[in-house]
Amino acid sequence: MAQLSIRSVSKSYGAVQVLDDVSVEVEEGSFVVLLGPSGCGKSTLLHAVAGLNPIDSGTIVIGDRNVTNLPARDRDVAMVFQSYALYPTMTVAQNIAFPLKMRGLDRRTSDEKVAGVARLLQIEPLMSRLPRELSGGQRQRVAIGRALVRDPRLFLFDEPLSNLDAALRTELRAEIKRLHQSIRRTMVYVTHDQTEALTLADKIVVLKAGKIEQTGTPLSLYDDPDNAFVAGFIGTPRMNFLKATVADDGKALLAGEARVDITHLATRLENGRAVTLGIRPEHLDEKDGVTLSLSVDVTERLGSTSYVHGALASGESVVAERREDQPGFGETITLRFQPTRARVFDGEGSRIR
Amino acid sequence: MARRALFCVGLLLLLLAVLFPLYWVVVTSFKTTRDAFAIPPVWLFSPTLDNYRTVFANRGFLSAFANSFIISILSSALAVAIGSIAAYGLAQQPAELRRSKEKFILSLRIAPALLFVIPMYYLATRIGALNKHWLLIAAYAFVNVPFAISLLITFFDDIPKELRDAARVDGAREFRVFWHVYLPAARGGIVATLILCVLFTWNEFFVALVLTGRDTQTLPVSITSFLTFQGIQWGALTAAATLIMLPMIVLGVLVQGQIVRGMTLGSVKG
Amino acid sequence: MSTVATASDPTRHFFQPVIVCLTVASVALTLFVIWISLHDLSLMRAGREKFVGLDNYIRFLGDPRAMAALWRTVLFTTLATVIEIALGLAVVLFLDRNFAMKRLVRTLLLVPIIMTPVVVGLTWRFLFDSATGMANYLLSLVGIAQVDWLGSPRIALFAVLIADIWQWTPFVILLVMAALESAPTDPLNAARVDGAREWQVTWYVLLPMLRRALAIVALIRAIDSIKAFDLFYIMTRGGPALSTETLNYYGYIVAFTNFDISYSLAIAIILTIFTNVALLTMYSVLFPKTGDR
Repeated sequence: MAQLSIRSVSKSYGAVQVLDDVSVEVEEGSFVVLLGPSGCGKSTLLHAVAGLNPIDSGTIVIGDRNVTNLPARDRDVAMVFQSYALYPTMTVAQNIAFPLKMRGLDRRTSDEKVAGVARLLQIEPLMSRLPRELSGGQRQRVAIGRALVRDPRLFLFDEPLSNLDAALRTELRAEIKRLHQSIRRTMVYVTHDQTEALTLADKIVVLKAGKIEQTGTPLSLYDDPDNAFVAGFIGTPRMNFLKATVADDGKALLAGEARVDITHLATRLENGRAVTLGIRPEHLDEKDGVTLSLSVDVTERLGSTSYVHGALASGESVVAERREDQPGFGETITLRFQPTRARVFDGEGSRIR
Repeated sequence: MARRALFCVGLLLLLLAVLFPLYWVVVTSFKTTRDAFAIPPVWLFSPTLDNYRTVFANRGFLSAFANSFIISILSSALAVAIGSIAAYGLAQQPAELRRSKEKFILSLRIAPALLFVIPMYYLATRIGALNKHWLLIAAYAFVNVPFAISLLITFFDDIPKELRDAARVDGAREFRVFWHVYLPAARGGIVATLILCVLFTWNEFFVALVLTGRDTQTLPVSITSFLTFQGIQWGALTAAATLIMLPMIVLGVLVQGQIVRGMTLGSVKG
Repeated sequence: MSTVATASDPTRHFFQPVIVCLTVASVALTLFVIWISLHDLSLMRAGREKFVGLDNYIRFLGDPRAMAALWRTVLFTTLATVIEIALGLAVVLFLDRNFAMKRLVRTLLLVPIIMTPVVVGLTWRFLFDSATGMANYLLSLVGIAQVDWLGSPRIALFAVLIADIWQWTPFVILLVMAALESAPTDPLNAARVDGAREWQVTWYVLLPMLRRALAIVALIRAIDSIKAFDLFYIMTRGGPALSTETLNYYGYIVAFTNFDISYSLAIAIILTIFTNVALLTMYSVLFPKTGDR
């Protein structure tokens, strides 16, 4: 049974359509990430689920209740904010106890629950401090504690890690993952960081300009993107896109001097049609396959591997992974890839399978 | 080196110009009449408290002190209570609606006091309220509310919006968001606003001149009585002046950072 | 659906009652004031008012005392605003360096601002006393003859002006100083690197950055100077020979010495209109349409 159903939700601010007929189903106990560039509407959607922003049309159902017109306090959700949103005048203990106090829970039960959360998150030594006396990581832990204490039906995270430095981000990311595995509650998580999305999510919803581009598991988005936007947004360095034309009665693509066999595609393409060929940097370092020759501009050495930036004869720039050698500026190298690794997109960016 | 010396001399002259009048009034309040009017001025003298005895013997002055105290505290507290609720509501509104309301509030502060004091005086004489404290408390609250709203909005604006979102998700109704989250977080700003209101009310002269009666005279009005009794009693006058401004200077220094902010309000956002 | 949600937005209930009360009060007050100004209403014979139309306004135009007061208000406001801004800016530029007691100086500059205006008036009246005042004593030290500061019709307005300048220039200083300190210093250094001399840095880079603050403080000082009352009441009572009577003060005299509140309110309305016109003019001059909101 779906724990959260977002059905055809739309919202606009004046002339700007921030959410355009968005529908998402979130299974009970799953971890769903709303992913997209800034301004794509992912935070607006999360705020709509929380009941902080009214929506223009559509329905939001949590559990078996239609909550579309309920205020935030009656939706039984908890939320963790990007800026932590800790109440500055309350101690850590008071912050965590606040949702219980607002629900009129008696003092003893409240104290017990707060202590339990503190134990779980290992923030017991901090309980009598004020938020300003905490580090960024500690603050975010307290914010998570405040969400946990109420044991809500639904956890919402609004870019919770983006104010932290890189090392802490990795650490807390793992912690959130662990938390989800141990309490198995439904969580909806907003981020613009695809690494977070790929590592945390059971299911990713990719948004762009208020519309859903694709919904799927992390691996399916990576391997089998529906369109050029998702293909380019997921994966670092990003996928290379090359101009190509259909040739040989639809059996192959011509991209510069390379000839790519596309007989594995289900769709038959007519000769001469212009398409886009997408190929990830990590698939350009094969032993055999189609060849491209690249004249090297820059090589980034990352230790275990290297990324080579350069240009093809056609002038299109390409990034390729290189595991064995590190070519220098001005060298010309040969890239090889398997035709089945290539993804083909039409003029609008839709995938041709 | 020469430039540094020049700077020091300039700074000294500036401070002298700013502080000398104040110094001279305070010092004169401790002088005997003969010393006070000596030409050339007496710089060293044996201080006397005679002038303060005269002031404290003056029943009118003491009751004016009480009046000023009661009226400025109560009207300011009232204005801040009303103002903080309104400011909280306004701070949550979309920019457009908010700006129009703020403009209206500002426009209330440009009109000369005459415009509202005369009708108020006229009505007060009709209903016999001229000698009542509540009349002044109401008048000053009316003057202070727009000011308190515009100042408090800026303090509430300093509080991140996410705090309200968090409190709402945590189950707080709007009034409890205001009471448990915003009020404590803006505590400093609220105290500063209160002090500024007290300061303005304590110093205010025109409204008090028109609307106070014999029993409700405030200090600035009361002190003018020293001007008319057989010429001017400069000794007692300087002592009274010192007593009037001293508490305000202490309060003013306490909220010094907010004073310029408070006084510029209004036009800043126009 | 959104209309339902917005209408029930509880934050509206926080400000609407107050705004409604203020609106009702100010509208009622305005109507009442206009009504009174169109009648002939005196505090001496309440209840026997009669409708006189625009007579009070026509009377204003033919009242030489009112015209003189209006002119004096313009003179006082212009002088006070210009001198306070110029002097304040000069002091700010003078103090624009790091020195040990800057915080203390800033605190001391507050003193005139928070001093009770009535006390300021008394203080300066005391200093300007023609026989025993400090001002004349200082002049005598440098060999200048005594000046009858508050007793001479040609000088009294300027004596009040000096007191006003003393009280409010520190306000200009503190505000402009705050603006100066929050302004970025990189453009100044960039100009220096680009070869500008110090006065050029000040004139071409620093002053344009302070323009907004200066404009705001000029507007505030202009509004307050037009309405100035306390210093005039305490120092000169409009005298000698009406030489320091401003329009606001004249309005007060008409209402509470002559008890002619209808004419007084007509004067107050004219003063309000005048203030608004002056402000709008100043505003459009100080904030040209370059989007410098």
